[in-house]
Amino acid sequence: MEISARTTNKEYILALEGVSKRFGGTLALSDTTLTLPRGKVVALVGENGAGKSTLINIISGLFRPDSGTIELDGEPVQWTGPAQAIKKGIAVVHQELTLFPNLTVAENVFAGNNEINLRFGRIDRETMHRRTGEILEMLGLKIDATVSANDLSLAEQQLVEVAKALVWNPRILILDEATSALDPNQVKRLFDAVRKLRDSGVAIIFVSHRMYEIEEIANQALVLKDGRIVASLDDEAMKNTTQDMLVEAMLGRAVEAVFPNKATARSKEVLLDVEGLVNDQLRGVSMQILPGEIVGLAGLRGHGQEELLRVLFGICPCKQGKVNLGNRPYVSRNPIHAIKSGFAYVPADRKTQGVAQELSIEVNLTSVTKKRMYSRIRFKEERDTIREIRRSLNIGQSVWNQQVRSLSGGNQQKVVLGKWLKSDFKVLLMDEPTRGIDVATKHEIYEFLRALAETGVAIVAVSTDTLELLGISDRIYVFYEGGIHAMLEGEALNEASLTSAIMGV
Amino acid sequence: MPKKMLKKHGDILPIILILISMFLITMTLQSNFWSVSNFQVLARQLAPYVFIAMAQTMVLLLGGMDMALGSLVSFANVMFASTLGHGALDLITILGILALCMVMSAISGLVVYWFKLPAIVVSLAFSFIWSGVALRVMSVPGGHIPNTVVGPLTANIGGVLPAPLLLIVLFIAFWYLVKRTSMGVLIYAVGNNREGAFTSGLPVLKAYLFSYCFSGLMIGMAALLLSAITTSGDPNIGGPLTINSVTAAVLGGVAFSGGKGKMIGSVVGGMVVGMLVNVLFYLRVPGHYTYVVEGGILIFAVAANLIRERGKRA
Repeated sequence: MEISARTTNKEYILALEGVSKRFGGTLALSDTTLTLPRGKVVALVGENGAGKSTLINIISGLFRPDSGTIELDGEPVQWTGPAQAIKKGIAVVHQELTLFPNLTVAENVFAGNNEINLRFGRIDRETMHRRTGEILEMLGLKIDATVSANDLSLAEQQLVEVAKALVWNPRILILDEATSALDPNQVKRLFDAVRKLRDSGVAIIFVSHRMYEIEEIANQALVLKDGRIVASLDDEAMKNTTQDMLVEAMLGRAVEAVFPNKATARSKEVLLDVEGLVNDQLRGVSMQILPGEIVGLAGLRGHGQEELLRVLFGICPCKQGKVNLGNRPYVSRNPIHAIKSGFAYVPADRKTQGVAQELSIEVNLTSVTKKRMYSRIRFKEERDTIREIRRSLNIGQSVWNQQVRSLSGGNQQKVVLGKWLKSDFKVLLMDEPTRGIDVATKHEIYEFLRALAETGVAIVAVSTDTLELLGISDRIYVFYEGGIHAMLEGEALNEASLTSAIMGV
Repeated sequence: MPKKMLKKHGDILPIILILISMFLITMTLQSNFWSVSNFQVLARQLAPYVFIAMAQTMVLLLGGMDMALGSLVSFANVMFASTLGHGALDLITILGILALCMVMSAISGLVVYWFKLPAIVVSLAFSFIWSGVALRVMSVPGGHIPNTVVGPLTANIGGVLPAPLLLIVLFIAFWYLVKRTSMGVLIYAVGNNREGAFTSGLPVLKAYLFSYCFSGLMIGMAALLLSAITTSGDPNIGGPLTINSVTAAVLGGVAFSGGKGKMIGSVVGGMVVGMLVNVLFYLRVPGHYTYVVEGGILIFAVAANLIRERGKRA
């Protein structure tokens, strides 16, 4: 009794003192000291590579710090692995999905959790399904707990990840980019759940690259830069902090407008003409896209906008409809045909579909430009090409033959973009242009896209980030249940009308 | 109810159909096939294949592959042939050799776990090590399995039910009990996503220990039943069994990617492979063609799994 009285009186649940972690030559986290209060949402803000993930992994027992101490409830702890930290009440929703695709949703949620075990380790399936159902309900997820995880959409998988953490009744909940695949409606439900937990005394660490989410949910904020905490904002300070100020703190410099200018002059000649596309997910989609414009496709996940990109690029079949590209009829067959016809595609899941992670930057950058399969690779020429691409995209201080795996998310995305640059495309199809990328790199990518559009290329971008869509698009088509529900342009490009159109209003 | 059953077990339906057709082929090849004694002989001959299929499945479920399976069967076989023949002591010897199989299998599992090496390469290396050990024990075929051991293993309980069949049923029952526990979920989880399992705080090591030990035990059982059929030792007896076990598991729908497949599928797959070896033998197909056929069937099985998988996605 004495112990619990003492711990509940303490204001802080977790304290780190002088924690450092080094990977090879780089100091990922340097002499970090922080305290985590109960019943607050603390945002962790920083660019990619600022040390957020390292810090989270140290708190959750995945990494062992090189030096420094961690105290939980005033007692020093030394994690031997994630299992121990989880049992002590620290649950993490990781940025990378950790689901088991062939297990059911309920089995995923309860994996490693012994509280549903009967004698001899038998599983109380009834309780397992009931409790999973309750948590999913709270998160607003209407899925059957007995389906396997690989039948879920990315957003659903991310919410199951959250459910997996919640089932432990954590005292510290860490959400590392847990909203990146969610649409605004799902984020709202998740935030309601987070607030409920916060008010019941759970300490929450929240990481997101969407500043408006941080402004909405966080009570306090820690700003990381180059492995150090450079600013710590308490409740009062947070109330007076704007998104711009947060960004400024994490970049260490003032930012210009995050979004570039809109298109200047557009030709009237239609470049891509889509008429009445129908397949399993699309119910007659028509649109006209002009050269030099960036067109946003908005909608809740799974309402057809991603499907349209996949149909155009020849990944998914199309049953009916006509497409004209530059006044010539285009029939979607397969990606090779699509590339030859003048399409380029940047997929949402860059880790598995966008780049070859084990290969070097140079091989990735030249993977599309090869003209013929058996023609000799002219290395000197390739080097020049790569140098040019890297200059135009500003891909970091990396080495030629560095593995793409070791790059930050932002630089990986630049590699995905870069590999298309020499392929003479007319239409660039992008699914989630900046998912999981820090603000500074986002800005660079937006600038780059606008510059690309100015050369007469049309860009069609799908994004669940409504502010991003509003910021970069000249026009927005809003999808609802497989059809186009609205087209927003000019004055109508504002958050209110976009959000209501997305909801089908 | 049947519809639900079909949905749950539909993926092993094709292999059951194959089993039935193999049965019919065997029937036409043999005179008086429909006699009880013929079934008993068949059950005895198929049993080792069922055990190696189950053993391979345990490793495949973890996302690995056991290339050392055949060598371990050879090792256990020559151990049985060279140590048995001491009356009542034989029971202890048998249990000891089975335990040894579990330890040897666990060693390769631990190497895979600790050094995070691909299981296929580690077990390929171990296949040479175990082969060497087997040849050290017995360099040429020989030895003897006493009747006191052969008798019970080839007996028919109540004059009808072959003993190996009972053993198979016991082991399958045991696995399905395990599958209902958290250990079952753990094995599938680790096979699906090892890093994710570790990050989620699952005891990954336990999954490796259990799977490899259980696999070793079943390899030992296969060797024991084979020894009872051949009644002697042969350091090369396990040679073709590695590919047979992989073929059986894959025919039964177990995925190479790990974390996917049903034990019951592998059991049926094991029967099909055992039956195939038998049919080829009755047809007097020369040994080298048997290899060609078995290799061809493995490729067919892998392709069939992939096509079925794609069909589901679309």
